[in-house]
Amino acid sequence: METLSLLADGIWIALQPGNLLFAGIGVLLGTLVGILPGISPSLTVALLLPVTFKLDPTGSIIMFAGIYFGGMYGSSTTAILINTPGEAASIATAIEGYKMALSGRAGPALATAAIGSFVAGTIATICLALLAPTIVDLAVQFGPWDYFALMVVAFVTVSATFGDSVLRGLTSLTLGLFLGLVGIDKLTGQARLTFDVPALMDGISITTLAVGLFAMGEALYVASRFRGGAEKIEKVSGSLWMSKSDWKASWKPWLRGTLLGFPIGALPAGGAEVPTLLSYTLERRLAKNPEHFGKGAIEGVAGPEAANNASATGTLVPLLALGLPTSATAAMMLAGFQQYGLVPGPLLFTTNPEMVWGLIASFLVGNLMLLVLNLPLVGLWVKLLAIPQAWLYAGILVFAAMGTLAANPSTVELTMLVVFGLAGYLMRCWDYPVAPMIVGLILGPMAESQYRRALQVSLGDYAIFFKHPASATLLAIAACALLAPLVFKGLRRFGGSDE
Amino acid sequence: MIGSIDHKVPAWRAPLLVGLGLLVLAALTMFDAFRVMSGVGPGVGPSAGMKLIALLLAVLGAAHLVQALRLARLAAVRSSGEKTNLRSLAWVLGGLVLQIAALSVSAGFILSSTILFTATACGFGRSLKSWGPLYGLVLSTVVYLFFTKALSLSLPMGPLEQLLG
Repeated sequence: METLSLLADGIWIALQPGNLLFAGIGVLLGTLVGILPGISPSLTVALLLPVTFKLDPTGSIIMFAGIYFGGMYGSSTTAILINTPGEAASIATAIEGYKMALSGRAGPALATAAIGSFVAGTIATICLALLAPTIVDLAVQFGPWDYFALMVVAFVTVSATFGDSVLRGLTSLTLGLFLGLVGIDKLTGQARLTFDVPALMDGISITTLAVGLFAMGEALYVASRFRGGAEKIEKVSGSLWMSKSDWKASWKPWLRGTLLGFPIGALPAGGAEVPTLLSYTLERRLAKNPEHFGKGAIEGVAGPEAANNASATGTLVPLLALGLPTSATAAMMLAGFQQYGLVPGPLLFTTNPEMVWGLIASFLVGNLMLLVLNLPLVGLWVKLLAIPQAWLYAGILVFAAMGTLAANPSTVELTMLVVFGLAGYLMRCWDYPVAPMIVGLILGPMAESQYRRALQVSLGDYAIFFKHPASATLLAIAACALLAPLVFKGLRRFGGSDE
Repeated sequence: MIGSIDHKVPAWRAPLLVGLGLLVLAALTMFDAFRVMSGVGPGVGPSAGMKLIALLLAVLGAAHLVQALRLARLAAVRSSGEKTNLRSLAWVLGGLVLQIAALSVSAGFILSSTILFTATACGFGRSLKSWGPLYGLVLSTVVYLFFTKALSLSLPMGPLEQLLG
């Protein structure tokens, strides 16, 4: 019951006119940027981070939530209308949604995506509100060894278990861990891997890495594949609204998608592509007319979209309750917190409860606002898709450079951005996942300090990680998660699919 | 075709390059780890993490090399689907380098971003004589004014920025 009153307080905070305005601006900005082809929600958040630099923490985090949901909505719109999923999680949506758009049913496809996201987001937010305090209660009893073991689990699941190559996932993660070493060691004040470059003393900025890998990498990749053609946009013709049979076909997939998405998102398993594809497969199997699948079945949009949104909300459980980001977008949210010196985790629930609950409540408000603002504005958003690639990517690069310069006005920082951009480009060319690198950069230093703290407590005895049941279990899970793909699919999987 | 490379490349090339890169990073980290002094008291110092990461990098680098060797023996070919448009890539990268160069001679945010915008647009098939430079100038000015005046962030100053006050 305490949770409900806290949530009610949160809703009160989120409904303050100022915060409502921030949420609204966030949703609009997020949609505006997220709808641009090839821009994923995490990139949307990364690009719009500088907009929130000077706001007060609560308002800015609430705006962040709006940006996030707006970006997700925009991403599914692009998937449906021009078959360009901005992220892996929208692939399932693109399969059926684009087919629906081709046959003149873009309106219902967009509507079932939006309403499904709303339903899933609302249910998942309520689950988040109920689940997070329980985990927080558990987490306050955690010792540094437990945190370290938990982070090892996150490392393994994010990089090895769900990617298509263990080798490439681990490589990306390790590069992130490597970048996390750069800078001054917090415990002893010694400079590591800085090579006497003053700009490296503060360490590598998460935003610079994320914007470089995502925005620059994407722009360079698209440029390298540029053929001079323009993308074809499907017109939103016919009714914008869903018919009675559309509703009937949609509501069960929404709920099933939510049920799949939330738990998978809440586990430190990373990525929404697993639940979305699972939901797609499930809907296909349960459909009364499976032959519609592949030709524009509304269930194939409704389920995955709900799963996508629910899993995105699910990733906030480990982020808020434990301070563990398990997806690229969650990593960007963490960067948003860090710019105010706030560390998500059990402590934040006691030190800044109004902020945490305001944020959770603003997910509810943001979801509602998304529905109210965006469904009627579909026509306007669609016009944005017509921006020629040349102006689009030129604008993205200017914006990316601006964000970096606003955070740290130095040419060294900008050079790092370009270097990360090149790395992102090569990683895209060679199929290396990008998210583990960002998670590695954020969690690496945290894991290291927990590790060192644990060893200080135990006076250097390494057995401490195995003496406590929680950390021993978690480390065993990590070992299984690392070895499972190798055992099940044979050693060949280690090197990936191209062997 | 000018500015393009053949899109059939030997499959061992990518893992070889990545493997060598990882080994260089591993050596760099290990080298630096021995410079860092280990802490006093119980537990591990700042160099332990570095050595661990260096070891991981080295193992992954070696795994890449093994993979490259295996692929070379199979004579596998990797098809990247489409040819790389080096001309476009060069325009965009050139724009970024020019922006850094312009900023280091204090040309300011607006001018340097206009250069970046124009070069990127050229990379995507617009000619230099198109509206690109003008669009870039307008966009950079609007972005500059919005973020410095409305959000009071600071962006690099130059002659144009001083005119705007």
